[in-house]
Amino acid sequence: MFPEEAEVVVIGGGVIGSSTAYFLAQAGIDVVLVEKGYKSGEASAANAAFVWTITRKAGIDIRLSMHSRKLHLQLQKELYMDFEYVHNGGLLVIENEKEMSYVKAHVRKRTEDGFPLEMIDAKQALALEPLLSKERVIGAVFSPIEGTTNPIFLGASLNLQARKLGAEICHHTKVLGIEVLGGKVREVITDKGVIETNTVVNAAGAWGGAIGAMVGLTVPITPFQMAMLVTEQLPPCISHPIMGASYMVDEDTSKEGQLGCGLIASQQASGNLLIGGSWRDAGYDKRTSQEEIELMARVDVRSMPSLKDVRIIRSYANFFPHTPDDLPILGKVDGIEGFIMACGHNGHGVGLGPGSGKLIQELICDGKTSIPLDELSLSRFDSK
Amino acid sequence: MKTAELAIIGGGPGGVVAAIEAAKAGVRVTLIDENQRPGGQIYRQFEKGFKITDPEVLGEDYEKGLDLLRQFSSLNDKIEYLNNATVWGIFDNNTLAFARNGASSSLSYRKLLVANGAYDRPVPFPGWTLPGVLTAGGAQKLVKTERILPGKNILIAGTGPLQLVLAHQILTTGGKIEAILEAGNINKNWFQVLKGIWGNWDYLKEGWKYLRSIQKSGVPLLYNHILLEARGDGRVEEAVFAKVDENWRPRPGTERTVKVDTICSGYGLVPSTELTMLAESEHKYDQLLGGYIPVRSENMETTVPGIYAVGDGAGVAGSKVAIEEGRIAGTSIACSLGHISDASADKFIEHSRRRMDRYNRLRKVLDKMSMPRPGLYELAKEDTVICRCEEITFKEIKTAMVDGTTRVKDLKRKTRVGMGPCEGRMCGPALIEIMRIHSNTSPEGDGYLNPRPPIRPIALGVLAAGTAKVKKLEKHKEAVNVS
Amino acid sequence: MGMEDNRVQNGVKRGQLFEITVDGEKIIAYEGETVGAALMAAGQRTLRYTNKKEQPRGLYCGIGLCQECRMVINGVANTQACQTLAAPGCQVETRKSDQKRGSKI
Repeated sequence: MFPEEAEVVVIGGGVIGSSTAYFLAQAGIDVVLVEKGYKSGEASAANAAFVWTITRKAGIDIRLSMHSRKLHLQLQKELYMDFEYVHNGGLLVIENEKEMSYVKAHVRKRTEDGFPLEMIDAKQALALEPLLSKERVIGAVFSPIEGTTNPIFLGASLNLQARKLGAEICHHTKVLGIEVLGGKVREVITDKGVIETNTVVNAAGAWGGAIGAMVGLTVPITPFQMAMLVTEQLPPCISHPIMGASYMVDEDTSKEGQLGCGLIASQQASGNLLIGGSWRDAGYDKRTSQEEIELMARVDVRSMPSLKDVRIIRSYANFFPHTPDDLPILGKVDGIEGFIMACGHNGHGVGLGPGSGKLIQELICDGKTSIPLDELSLSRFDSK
Repeated sequence: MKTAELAIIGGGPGGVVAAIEAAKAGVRVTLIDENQRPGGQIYRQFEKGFKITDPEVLGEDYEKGLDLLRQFSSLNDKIEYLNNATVWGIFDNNTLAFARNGASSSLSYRKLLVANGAYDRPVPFPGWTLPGVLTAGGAQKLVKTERILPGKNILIAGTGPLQLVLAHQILTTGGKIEAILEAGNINKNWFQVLKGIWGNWDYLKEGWKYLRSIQKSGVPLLYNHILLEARGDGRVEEAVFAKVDENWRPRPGTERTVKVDTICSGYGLVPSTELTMLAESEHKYDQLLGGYIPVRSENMETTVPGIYAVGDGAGVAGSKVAIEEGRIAGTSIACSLGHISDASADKFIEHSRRRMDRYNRLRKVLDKMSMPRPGLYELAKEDTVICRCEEITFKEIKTAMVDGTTRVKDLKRKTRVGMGPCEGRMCGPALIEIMRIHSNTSPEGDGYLNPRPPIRPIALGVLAAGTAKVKKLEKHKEAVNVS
Repeated sequence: MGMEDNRVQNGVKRGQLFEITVDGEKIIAYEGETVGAALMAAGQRTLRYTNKKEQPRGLYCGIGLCQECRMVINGVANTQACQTLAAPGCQVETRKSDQKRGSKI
């Protein structure tokens, strides 16, 4: 039976939407989640699987990450189904002097902001991750709280429990329109039926703009493709999520339209390595290209030479919802009562998901949030 | 980057014949073959070191193959032959990626012909993962060109003419066969059978030869019998089989157990469609032809302009049909590239098509007999492994489906089925049928496991040695496009 | 294992004969044979053990698609035995499950 009404309709069944639905259901709210595909369908199923704070910038960025991380730990205790969250720390690997000065500046800013990071030398880095190249590593940042998870299982686990708490999760259900009357949200129109509601959460990720357009809003979210490689199952050989400092440097400074790439590596509980990663502006194209596959391979073998005989069994890509300032859009919007933004997580959705979900639940239930959302509102993009 | 007018993927009869026809017409052809020597499966040649002392023993296929391959090598100044090369992806701008000599490479083409053949249908049944259970094709390769018997007491179980060929080959080596189980039976409608046979005397002669050889040997050929289970401690030690009805379901009380050390499982072939799917051709699901097949024009062109497909990889119909399809495609491509006139192409194609139609008449009869019936996908028990790579059992899959999952893609996310190094080849065909039977899922649309490059496992170092240039890409203009 | 030989003699003459080492023991192989074929000839069917349930697996498809014949060959793990030509001095290992840290990748 298709739900005909709900207190809250969450649009988007990725990590953000699933977290939101879960926390709302936990708070006793009658919530319906609609997802056009299957759970953790899009960016949430095709990312680096990192729960990561090292490269988050000083300010609201790191605050959101830290808050969300605590919720990952909480979910690990609360959720019945295991989502393979392992958090023994992570490394940002430095391979040359340019990266070293960039990283040191980042560490300085973070320390000033109250979220310090620890620098370690090459010997320590290699002791933590022996597969790293002895020739190239000159140092690293180590943070003991970093981790990896299985985002598909996280989404599934959140949905399973949300259902048990009374939420309705509707997969393969596409939102066609949202009716707003007298400045208030009235109903959500889907291809399976109409749901009467006064509160809608836009957790549609890379499609956040399309959902916003349904209520006349201009939402500056553009898809940004990230690709990764999957290896066959290996004995335990990588214990921490690893990112190359070049990933951070290039991502921050790369020119528009260029194909970028930096070291990303971690090992899933199943034994497969998720390595990569490359990014490019490819619109809504999920296909990986030969250039990015070979480029990722080159970068990965250079930084971890003993992986050269390891076989790649597939590649994947998905588009992250990119916002102009690299920060998510969270909170109410001016002029439309009941329409709440919760998207634009720029590739940090897995890490920030539980946190965003909780903040939105607080906003809906209490009217106030543990972290003020003013800096993250949609109105920050209004032309002055 | 290498370029070709016509790139052909696959060195079996379809690809080789197309190369010959196109090259004769003046087309610049590059043929990419994963093997050391051309011939594909049916005309597989011997590796270096083997000297043939008695061609008779190797069978007619071998001789036919040699003939074709001589023609192919005589054109070596016109056909660029890249052996030991594995195609791992097809990309925009008419390029394909392949790995050769330890490095990844690109080839750009004006026209592409995919002739990558088919593989043995993996059929899950209790004990199918025991060492000693191999596919009929795998056994055939061992016996034919490696001259090794897979075991000392062999049970051949499955359906279709390939089993007879295998049995004959094993018998000529002096190998011992316990029995041959054929799940189907000759079509009871004799008129249909006659219509199919008429004109196909060479097929008939061949088939008769194999049947005679089996008859003379005294090995029982049991129609309407199916293998139920392989048993043993770490290896095949015995097999259980039974008589079946026309839906291939066992008749109660007919079970028998035999002591064997090897089982050759041969339930026909499944077309390899990873490349045509990656190329984004439309596909349809045709049970008679083995599963998903690309939708093609009568000149073998897929729904992607410039990309053609022939042979078992586009619909299992055997080598004779593959050869005619190769002729049609090679000629049609040469014509479309302006090397020969429409008129002469049409004439040549007409002759080929007539032969092809004749072969297909008989194929239909054989395929009807061997088309998998529902009983085949009821062999698996709860604890039978369906996904061999990830060791996912039938029970785990059924549980995931009971939970509301009805699409193969979603099932993959939930259970990890299809996520191993075989990239879904060994579980896909059974999974689609299981979903069709249990949850009425249509194989078309969301029914299949999406292939993603690399469509064969490739070592990271090989990819890293690739020469794809990082170029400045144009900013995508439709960034705000609503999909 | 060393005594069994499932090779067929009629129809062909084989080339160079040599030895390869499998799990420390020597078996014979001929020029042109794959490692998988040489193992089948010697009667060794089990080529690896699975990760989860440590089940024995052997040759299945024979043409490089099923990935069941993965062995450690000359120090490289996950090498398909049916696709690798045997050569004098070849070192082959069957592998128990891949769970132990420090095992060859």
